[in-house]
Formats: sequence, structure tokens, C-alpha cells
Amino acid sequence: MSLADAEVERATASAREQLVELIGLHARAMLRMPWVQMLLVLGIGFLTLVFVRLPVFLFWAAASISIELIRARYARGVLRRGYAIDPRRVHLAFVSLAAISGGVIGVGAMLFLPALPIYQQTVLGATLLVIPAAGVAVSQSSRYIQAAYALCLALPAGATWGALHPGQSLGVVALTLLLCAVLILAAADGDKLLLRSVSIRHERDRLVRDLEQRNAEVGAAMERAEQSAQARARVLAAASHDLRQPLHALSVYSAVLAARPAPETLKEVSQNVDQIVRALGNLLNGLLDLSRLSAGYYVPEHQNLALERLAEEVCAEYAQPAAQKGLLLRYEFESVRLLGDPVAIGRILRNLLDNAIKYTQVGEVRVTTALEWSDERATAVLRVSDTGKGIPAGERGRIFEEFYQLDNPGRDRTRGVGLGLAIVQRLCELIGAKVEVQSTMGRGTCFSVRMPVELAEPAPDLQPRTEAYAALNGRRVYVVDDEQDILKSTRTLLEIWGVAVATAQSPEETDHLFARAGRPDLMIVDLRLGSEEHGASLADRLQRLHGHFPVLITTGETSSEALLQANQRKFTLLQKPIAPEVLQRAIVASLVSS
Amino acid sequence: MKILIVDDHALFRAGLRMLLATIGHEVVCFEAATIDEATALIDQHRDLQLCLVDLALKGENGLDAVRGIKDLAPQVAVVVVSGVDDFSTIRSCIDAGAMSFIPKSVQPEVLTHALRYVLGGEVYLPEQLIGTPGDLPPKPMLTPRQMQVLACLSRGLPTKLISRELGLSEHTVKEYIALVFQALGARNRTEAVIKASQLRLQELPATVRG
Repeated sequence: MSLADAEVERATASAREQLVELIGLHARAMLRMPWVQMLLVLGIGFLTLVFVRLPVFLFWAAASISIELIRARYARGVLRRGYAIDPRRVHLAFVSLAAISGGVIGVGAMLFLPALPIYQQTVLGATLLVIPAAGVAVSQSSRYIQAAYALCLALPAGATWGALHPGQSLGVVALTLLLCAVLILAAADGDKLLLRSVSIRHERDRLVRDLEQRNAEVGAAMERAEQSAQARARVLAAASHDLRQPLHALSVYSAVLAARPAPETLKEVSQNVDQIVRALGNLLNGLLDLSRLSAGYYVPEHQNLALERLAEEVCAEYAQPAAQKGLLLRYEFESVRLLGDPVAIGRILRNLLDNAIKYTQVGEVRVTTALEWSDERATAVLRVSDTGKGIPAGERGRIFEEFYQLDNPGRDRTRGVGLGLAIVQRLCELIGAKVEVQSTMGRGTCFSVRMPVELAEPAPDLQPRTEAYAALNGRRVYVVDDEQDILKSTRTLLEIWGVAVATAQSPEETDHLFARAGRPDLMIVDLRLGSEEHGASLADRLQRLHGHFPVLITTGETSSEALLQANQRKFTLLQKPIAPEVLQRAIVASLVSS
Repeated sequence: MKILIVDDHALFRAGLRMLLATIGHEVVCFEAATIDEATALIDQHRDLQLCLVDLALKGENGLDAVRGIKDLAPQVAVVVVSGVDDFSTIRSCIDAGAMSFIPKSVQPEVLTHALRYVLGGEVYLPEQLIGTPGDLPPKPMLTPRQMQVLACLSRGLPTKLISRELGLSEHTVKEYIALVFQALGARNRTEAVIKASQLRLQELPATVRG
């Protein structure tokens, strides 16, 4: 939603609130109306009963009070429902009810006026004209309610008067209309005033809310700043400690050299100094990297890359260090292509591998790449797991802090500088990846880096080298399924493997596809296609028409006539749900055997 | 001369060992990274004379190491070599029985100089603690016996060991100690060590080293 949309939505919501509030005011006034109406009926009865036939009067009185009771009842319902009402519909109902209510009194005028002597006629006529004026207050400044009430009351009354006194008819009708107009204008004025006051109140409430929100934001920002200042102070303190330690050692070696040591000592000095200088260099580089990443100078690239190939290269660098510690470095690479930053991902893997080797004494370090699916979205997952001593649950959140190992006295601070995971964390943030850690004490730790997979145009020079990929690359595969979602996800998956995919949703579409593009290298078809012809018979028919091609049938069923036929035709069957690696193996097997 | 180096930083330890081997005569160094390792080595080598201890041991407090070593082998002279060098830390080290204190942050030539002192059985304290030689108050007159007692105090020896080493009764040693404190204007051993160091009272007779 854009900002402008949000603004409009808020304005609409606030207008609705105002309308609801006005309707509430009117509804409350309605609750009192039966009593008022009863007084009116009594008054008119007092004035007319001698001259009017009783049943007529009683009928009118009953109608008149009933309509007010209906209005009051409806109003009570509206009030009870509160904010849940549709304000426009309720308003329309109120206008209609006001029209009927006014009309009933107007009919009263038509019934009674002709029967009355002139004196009573005058009093009743005047009373009837005063009633709509009182209505201005009751209608609570809705000009529509007021108009409906006033016109339906005054017009019959005025017309009757005009008919009884033809000489005054023009004047009376004109004056009646004028009165109505004035009353409607008065209601409209009140309408505006009330609306304005309601909107002022709403505006005030909104300002207060805004202010509170602003305050909360400022508070949160200050807290963040405070935290980041604390983090900086911690980094600085830890860094100065870590920088001083090698400097002290260097100072000792300088003293050794000045004291003219024996030649064999010299050799050891030079080795140790070399080690210290390297460690210092690593520390400084780590600090610089971290500050560069934090300052936002590093802009990640978006390059086509084969994750498993990158992982393989990095793993090769660590083969020796792992072997030196007697650790088994194992990998299991599923081919994953994505748009990403090879430098950042390489660095993430290096740091994770470095840690894994450092903190594992016996056993193995394992690196895997995989493609995982959830909600129709593909995620590339890079995992580094070890058989080290594990990370206590309470510290898993803190290991990504800079120099965290320093605060943990159990760890050997001569090994590494404690910046590796902090850098991993920053890099992951930069490339939109997520890093997670799972650990079992005494069993090992597994870091998973989840990267969103965005597909790009295939770049031929970056094809993965695995055999599976070679078998799949450039092959033409048709996918037939009546479910759009499955078609889409299967297509994405196959394209990641370098397959040229065409899809069809029905046997008819499949026929068109074959007519247009010919026989594929492989067809993957769902057993149920939402039509009479099922997947196995479709494949059967197409093979007879176009010659042999391998077929994979996907199904969620375990027994049916269609399944039986698929079995008889010796099609390869894949039970749903199908894991990507199962699908890949099945495709490769079909392609190779054909 | 057998020396034990207790420091959790292996490269620093190695550096100290080479420096001591280069500037000392017939020095044999042992290395320990933890208090446990240090204790084991002290048990093994009863003729250990000197122990260099870092205060910031991984997960352990170096002061505990100093106290532990003095409890186990009071005759061993303990020298603290530390990256921290504030006044109160130095005092608490001497309180714990250390004889000398060498900050890691000193210049290489100062480090060599300090280690030479320590190897010669003398007290070394950082200059910022004892002041520069320029504004020295007059040296108190101490008899050779009192000087011997002071040297033993500096090494962190308890009264019993001092009496054994000097061939005096414990009672006599206590009287000497009181006289030394009085002469130096010191209230306890730590103050006496610091005062003596400030006054450059360290011309020790060779017999004391044994």
C-alpha cells in the first residue's frame, strides 16, 4: 500500500467514524420520541375530539405512536450494534422513517383540519407548522432527515389548508415551502457545525495518537543508539585488549633480539614473530571488514553463480587444515544456481568452516548445499555442521556478537579473534540471507545459511560440474499437470537444474505442445488431469502418435484403475510429495536409460 | 636456575623463555598455561627458584596463582608479569606475596633490565610506583642483618623460613622485622617492599641468595 493510499484510507475511516457518531446522536434522540409523540397526540386530541369521529382519531393516534415506537426500537438496535453498523444504510433508514413519521402527522392534518371550526383550524395549523421546527433539534442536524420529516408533514398540511381556504392557497403553499427551506438550511448549518466539532475532536485524538507514536519511536531510536554505543564500546575494549596482547609478545621478542640470542633461538623467534604478525593482521583485517560492513560501504553483487561449485572451491582450501587436525571434511552438494554475491557467500562459508575446524577436536566437518521449498518459494541452503562440543543454548544468540568468545572464559582466546561470526552475520544481512544455528551439547553444531533464490538467465560458463547437471542441462522436458501451482514450482525447480521446460495444463494443451514443438526428451505428467483422459493414457496415446519418449508419472494415489494402467505400461511412478532430489534422480535415470 | 613461567598466551611464554635463556646463565624454564599445570610443575621441581606469573589467566585469576604458589612453595620468588599495571593491582600482588612486578607494556630494554634484576634476586617494581631516582629521601641506616631480613621479606618468605635461612630464632627475626618496618616507616610487608624499592636499598649480600 502506498503512502497516498494509506492517507486516503485513513481519511475514509475517519469520515466513517464521524458519520457513525452523528447517527449515534440521532438514534439517542429517537429513543425519547414516543413520549413526545404521546404528548402531541394528547394535545391534538384535546383540540379535535369534539369535532372528529373517535375511531378515525384513535386509528391516527395509534399509527402516529406506533411509527415513533418503531423508530425508537430501530434506534436502540443501532445503538446496541455501535460501530458495527453500515452508517450509510442506517442513515437512509432514518431518513425513510422520518418521512413516514412526518407523513403520518401530515395525514392527520388532512383528516382533521376539514372537520374543525376556524379557531381550532388555526391552532392546529400553527401547531403543525411548529412541529417541524422542533424537528431541527431532533433530527440532530442531518438536513436529509429534517427535509424528509418537514416536507412530508408540512406539504399535506399546507395543501389541506389551501384547499379549505382557496383564497389563501398560493400564499399558504409558498409560505409552507419557505418554512421548510429555512428549516432545512438551519439543519444544514447545524449539520456543518456538528461535523466540524466532531472532526476537530477526531483530529485531536489523531494528533495525540501520532504524538504518542512519535514518542515511542524516539524512545526506541534512543535505545537503539544506546545499544549500538554500548556495542561499540565493547568492541573497542575487546579490540584494544586483543591488539595489546600480541604487541606485548612482540615486545618480548624485540628484547630477545636485542640480547643477541643464540642462532637456534633466532629461528624460533622469527617463526613466532611471524605467527604473531599474522594473528595481528587477521585481527586488524577483521576489524576493518566489520567496520566496512557496518558502515554500508560494501555493496553486494548479483551474479549468476553455482553454489555447489563455489562451496567446492572453498572446501578445497580447508582440506589441509582439516586433515592436519585429523578431521574428516565431507561434502554433499546438490546443484543450486542463484543470483548472488560470490565474494560474500565465499567469505561466509570460509568463516563458518574456519570455526567448525577450530572448535572440533574429533570427528568430521560437513558442508552441504541444497535447494529447499516452502510456500512455493525456493531457498538455497548452505550448511556447515561439525561434531564439536556444541554451543550452550543460552549463548547461541550471543555468538554473533563481536569478540563474544572473549567474554566466554572457557574458550581459548589464542585461537582466532572472535570476529568471524559477527562478519558472517553482517554479510548475511547484506545479501538478504538468514543464518541459523542448531546445536546439541557434546554432539555438534550446525550453521545454516538460507539465501533467497532468484533466477537469472542461464549463464553457460557457470554450469555446475556435477554429473547430474550434465545429464539435465539443456534437455527438453514437458510437464503436464492440471494444477497451476504445481506447474509453476516444478518449472522453477527444473530451470534451476538447467532444464528447458514447457508446461501444459490439460490433454488438449499437451496435444498442441506436441504439434508445435514435437517430442520432448522427457514428459512428467500427473496421473489425474481433471479430465476424462488420465496421465497414463495420455502418455500412451502420445507415444503411439509421436514415437517413444521417457515418461514420469506423478501421483498421490496408491490404488486405482489409472494407476494399474500406468503400471502395465511400465511408466516410472513417483509418489507425491516428491522431494527435489528424488525428482532429479528419476529424471536423470529416465534420460540415461533412454 | 629453574624458572617457571605461568601465562596462557603460548607465544608470550615462549618469548619470555628465550629472553631468560639469553640473558641468564644456566637457566632452565618450565611453562604452564593454567594454575593446575603450574601446581603440578612446582610439585615436580622442588628446587624451583623463580616463578613468573601472568595475572590474566584464561578463566582463572593470576592473584590466586600467586597465593597458591606461595602456599605450596614459600621459598619460590614470585614475579608478576602483567598487562595491567595500575597501582592497586601492583599492591595486591605484593600483598599476595609477590616479590616483583613487571608490566608487559614496558619497552623491550626495560623488560630485559627488569628480568636481569629479577634473575639477580632483586626486587623490581615499575618506575611509576617507586618514582625516579632524583628526589630520594635520605636512606635509613640498616645493619647487615636487618638488610638480610628485608631481602627475605621481599622474597615473600614467612618468618619461620627467614629464621631457618638466617640461623636465628623466630622471636629474633620478628624483632628484626619490627626494626626494619620502623626504619622504613612501613606498617606491613608490602609497604616495606615498596619503600625499600623506592629508596634503592637493594645492595644485597651474595650470601642471601644461597
